[in-house]
Amino acid sequence: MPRPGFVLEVDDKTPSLLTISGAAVRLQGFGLGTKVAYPADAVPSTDPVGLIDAALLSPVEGDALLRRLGPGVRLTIVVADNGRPQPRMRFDVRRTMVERVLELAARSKVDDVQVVIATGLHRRWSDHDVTRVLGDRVASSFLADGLITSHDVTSDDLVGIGDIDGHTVKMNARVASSDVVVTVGIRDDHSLGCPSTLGLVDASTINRVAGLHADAAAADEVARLVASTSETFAVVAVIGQPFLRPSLSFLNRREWEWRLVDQLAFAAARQFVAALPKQGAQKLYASPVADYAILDVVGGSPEAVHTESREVWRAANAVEVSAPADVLVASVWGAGFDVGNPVGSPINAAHNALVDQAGCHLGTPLVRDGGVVVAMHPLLRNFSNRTQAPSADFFTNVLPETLDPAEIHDRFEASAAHDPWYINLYRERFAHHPLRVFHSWYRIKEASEGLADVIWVGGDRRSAGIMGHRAASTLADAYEVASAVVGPRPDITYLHGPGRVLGAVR
Amino acid sequence: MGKAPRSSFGAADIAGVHTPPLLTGRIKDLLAGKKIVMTGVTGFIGEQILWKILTECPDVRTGVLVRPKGSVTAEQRVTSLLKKKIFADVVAAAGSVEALLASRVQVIEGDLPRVPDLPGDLDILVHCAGDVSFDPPIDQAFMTNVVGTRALLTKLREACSDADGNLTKVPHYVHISTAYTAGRRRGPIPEAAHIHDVDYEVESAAALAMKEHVEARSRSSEQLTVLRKQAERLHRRAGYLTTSEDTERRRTEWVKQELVAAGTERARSLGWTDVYTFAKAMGERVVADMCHDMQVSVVRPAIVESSLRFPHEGWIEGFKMADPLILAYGRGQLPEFPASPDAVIDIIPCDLVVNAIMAVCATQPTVGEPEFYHCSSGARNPLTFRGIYQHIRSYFSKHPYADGQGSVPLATWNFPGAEPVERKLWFAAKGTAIANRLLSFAPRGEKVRAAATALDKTTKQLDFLNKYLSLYGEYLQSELHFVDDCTLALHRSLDEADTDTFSFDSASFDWTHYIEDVHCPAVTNPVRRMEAARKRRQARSATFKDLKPSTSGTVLAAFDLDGTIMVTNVIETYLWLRLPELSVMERAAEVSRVVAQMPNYLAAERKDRGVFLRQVYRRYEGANLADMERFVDEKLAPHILDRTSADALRRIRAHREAGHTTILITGVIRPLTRPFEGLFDHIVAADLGTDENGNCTGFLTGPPMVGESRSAWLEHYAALHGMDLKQSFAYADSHVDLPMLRTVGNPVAVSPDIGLMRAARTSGWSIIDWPATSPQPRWKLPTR
Repeated sequence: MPRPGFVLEVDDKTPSLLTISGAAVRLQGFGLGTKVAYPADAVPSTDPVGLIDAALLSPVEGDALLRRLGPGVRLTIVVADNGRPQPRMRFDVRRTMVERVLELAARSKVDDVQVVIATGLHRRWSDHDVTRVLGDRVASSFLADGLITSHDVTSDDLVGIGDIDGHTVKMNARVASSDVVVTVGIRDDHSLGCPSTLGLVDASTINRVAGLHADAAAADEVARLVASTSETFAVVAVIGQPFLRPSLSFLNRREWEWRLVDQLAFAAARQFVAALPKQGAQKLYASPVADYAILDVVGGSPEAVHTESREVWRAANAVEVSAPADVLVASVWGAGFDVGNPVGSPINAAHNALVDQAGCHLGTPLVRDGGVVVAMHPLLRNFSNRTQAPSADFFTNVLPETLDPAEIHDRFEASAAHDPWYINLYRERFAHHPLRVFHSWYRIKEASEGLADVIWVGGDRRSAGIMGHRAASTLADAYEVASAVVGPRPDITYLHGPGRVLGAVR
Repeated sequence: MGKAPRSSFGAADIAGVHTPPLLTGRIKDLLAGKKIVMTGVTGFIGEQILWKILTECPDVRTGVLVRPKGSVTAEQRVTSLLKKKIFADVVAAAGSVEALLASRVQVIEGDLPRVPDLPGDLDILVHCAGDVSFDPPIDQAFMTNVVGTRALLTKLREACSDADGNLTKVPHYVHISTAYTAGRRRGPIPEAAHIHDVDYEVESAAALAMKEHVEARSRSSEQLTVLRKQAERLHRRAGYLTTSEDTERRRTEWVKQELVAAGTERARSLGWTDVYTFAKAMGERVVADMCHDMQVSVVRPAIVESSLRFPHEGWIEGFKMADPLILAYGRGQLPEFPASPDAVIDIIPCDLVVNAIMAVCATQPTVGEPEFYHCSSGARNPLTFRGIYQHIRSYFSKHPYADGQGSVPLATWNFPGAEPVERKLWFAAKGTAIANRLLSFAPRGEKVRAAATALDKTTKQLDFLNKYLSLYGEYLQSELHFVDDCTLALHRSLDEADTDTFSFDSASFDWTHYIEDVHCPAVTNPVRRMEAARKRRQARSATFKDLKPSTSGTVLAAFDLDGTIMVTNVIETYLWLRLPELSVMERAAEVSRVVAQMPNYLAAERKDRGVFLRQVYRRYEGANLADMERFVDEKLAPHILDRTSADALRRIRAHREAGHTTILITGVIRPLTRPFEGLFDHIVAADLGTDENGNCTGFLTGPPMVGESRSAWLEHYAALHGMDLKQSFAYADSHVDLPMLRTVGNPVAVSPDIGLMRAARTSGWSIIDWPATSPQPRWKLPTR
């Protein structure tokens, strides 16, 4: 069992602590009294087969999977994917889960099996992705016959399954027509909601449910509709914090526990990126892989599984924080959210800082109303032309006009959602769906509603200005800028990366 | 102790000195009831003469001989002349321009040497017309000044004769020549005919024949080869038609230069400074020969510049001799001047010349004895080069030409002489030539373009200096002293009532006032206004416009791929396709093979892009085309799209939204353009030929689209689909694409090389940059 996370209060014996800004690592001294929230320890993974089999045999609710299968059953395995975890898993537990399910299916003489990747608005999977995640055995048997498909939210062959408020909800045809659906997923955060459900419906439903006005009740309604089309068995693996490989080993350990190897790795990483910014960052951070400990695998009916897995993750990762802080400092690590882009694009960086990190709490926000979030990221305008073209155009054309979500929704959303080039990129080139950046922005705006200011340390001034935020060159300057709002002696909490901290505010 | 020896000419012995016919009353009375016909009324001096007559002499009728210009008739030209500001009062007094024309100005449409019949009631003919440029081609100079004058005098005789050719009345012919018909003489020049024995008939026949001779020489094979090689060095890669257009342009320029040089050399070999003064001297001889039974006056002004007082202070039309140099000094472009500091620059304000001409018209010279008058200031109010330098410097110190960041410190002239200045210019010319050659090898970039722009500016300045210093070289060291006793005597005989409005004493004004308060402002203010307007025009984007929605199917937008939309080259894309399937050792071998061929490729690329492309595409022999297409779709598309500039993609999509047809024209092989298929309506690329198994043969199915093939394709396409090329757009980055850019009405140069940048600057096209903002570094290979 890995050591749990904790809060360190900085005193005069505390060494400089690690901060990551995009692709640049550095050791930063924090002021006395700063509370540093460390995530749970990262440990290497172990063989999850036992846990998976246990989950399949003894579900938390409902019948065991074996009992549901038999000859003549139409089985669909839905692999839920929302782009996480980043950095990606070295041994993807979904591969083992799918293999175990297929073995059960083979034992039960099920011969109509297909695999559907539920991506929703995220990038669909190419053959290369399928091979990498699900392994050669599954890929070679299924890909050749076209039995693995990546769900396309814009496709014309989605089937309607019901309606909400008069609008039809359409979903993936194969999943709708199956008898038994096994959902394979990963939990690495505290969010509600079922990624597999929203990943299988059409774009307009997703837009209505998770768009400008995120409607939890509607989301539940959609989940119920989707679940009603077939018998669903969910298997979710709860994973721990990322354990990075030797060249980035200093990211796994706490600063005072660094050995010589870790110190050398840190120095090498820093110098490499400083000397060759693009190549160095590319080599180290472009697609890092990490080991994730499997805390538990939970199987059973979808709602129960999601609640139970959420509990497990909370128990492992909750860190008790005494009070909401005035200033929340967050490191934004590019490799932690953008595939292939070692530094990370500005909108995704803002989403990571404000929604994923500052929003990861048990109900009471980590920063008080009227407080300030200080995030560290260079905010370079690095957008991939292939996967992030709508993001690039959003940043260049939409944000300078207006920051207001309602206005953006009225003026720009519809044309972007149906733009032929974006849809071409989404379908042929495995890019994100254009609506994704709009939803990202709505969540960013919601998260920064109660904040007085968002300050980017080392960030490009113009990019920060476009998002309505501010920039400062160093952390001390950021505190200086923040002191206008929170006063000269604020309570500062620093979320230590690269793992995820679940703040439980007393 | 006797008298001290005299140091100057001393007082004149009145009895021996020739006095001109003097004025016997007020000029307007002396000219009342007469008809004055003039040529050159559209010129500088002629316009003011007409104004003076119309304003000061109400009883004088005029006739003006004017040439039609293109589609504008003579009448229209005179009408627009009379609409100028200085004629406003006169027109108002007459009621309207038409009324004025009807009552006092008779328009005679004609030309030199095809002179029309002159009105029979003329009393005085003032011949003001002539070429005012210093370097006309020799045949043109003689045609205007000798043949033209002869024709005019013939018509004058006819107008004043009866049917048998006998003169019925004696006209007064006033010939406006120039003081510098004195040529390369030194010392005092008297107001008399110049003594020389040059036969104007022979010279003008030879001059007119020179044009055919030079044309024939220009068409000889040696000369054409020289010009063709010059054109090829610049335009070879763009194509044969572009080269031939440039060759022909160079030939006509060469013909013009040769004719000018022929004129200059002939003039110098006979003792004149240039062909202008030579031809004018020949004209004076013609007058002397043909007017033995008429009244003749010859007025020789020196360097005529803006007016002192009439019609207003500083009145000037266009630029005269000294004005480009004054402006160049003010702009800081004249660091030194090869003049003799003590040489006299003989400037005379225009209204003094016009007043003198009016006074001359009112005299009655003896028949058969031509009178000569010098209008100059050097005799009694000399201005040296050093003096005018000090005045101009003082003016620009008080009124700098440009303020703020454009301001330059004023040069200090030391007058070292002609040799040092020439040497400096020679060194500067060699330096810029070497720098130009080096820049042609430099890689592309923002800094190289900035260096090329600075170099072009220096070259332009050097050309300006060379041109003007060679043009005026003689005058800068002149030691001519124009005696103007006759003119002074005529001035002194002015009636008291006329001394204010008709004064023409060149010693009556102060140079400080004239240069600093009258002339310099008159010359610099219009230029300042023009430059401000030009800057405002340039600030607006020329061809990279905001797009307006258009009716679909009429506008097209053509894009080049390499270097414009995507930062890559043909060899890099070849390596992308080839290397991933090889092992590490094989990769090293392949790369070293390509590197070994690089000198060949680079040489081929500099000569002809089509040859270069064919050589590179031979390496594709044996590759399977379907495999390549699949590889591009799966593995290479992310790379290609990442190398593409986001701004370029936005512009392409903006064209599509506006309803334009988007076309990609490139020499890259077709599989590599697959990721762009959703963006373009039409893709023109190189197609690799395959054998029956689908393997590439290494040869293309058709010639690669480069240079003029692209422009021809675009024109054919536009004709087939009814597109308007004048509204269409094209985006390209290298000199080779000049024909394609010239076909459309809105070409844009994207990160251009130096050749294209220069062409874009001269043609006024926008120059923009589309940087690739890819998160990946450039060397990354796609994974297999």
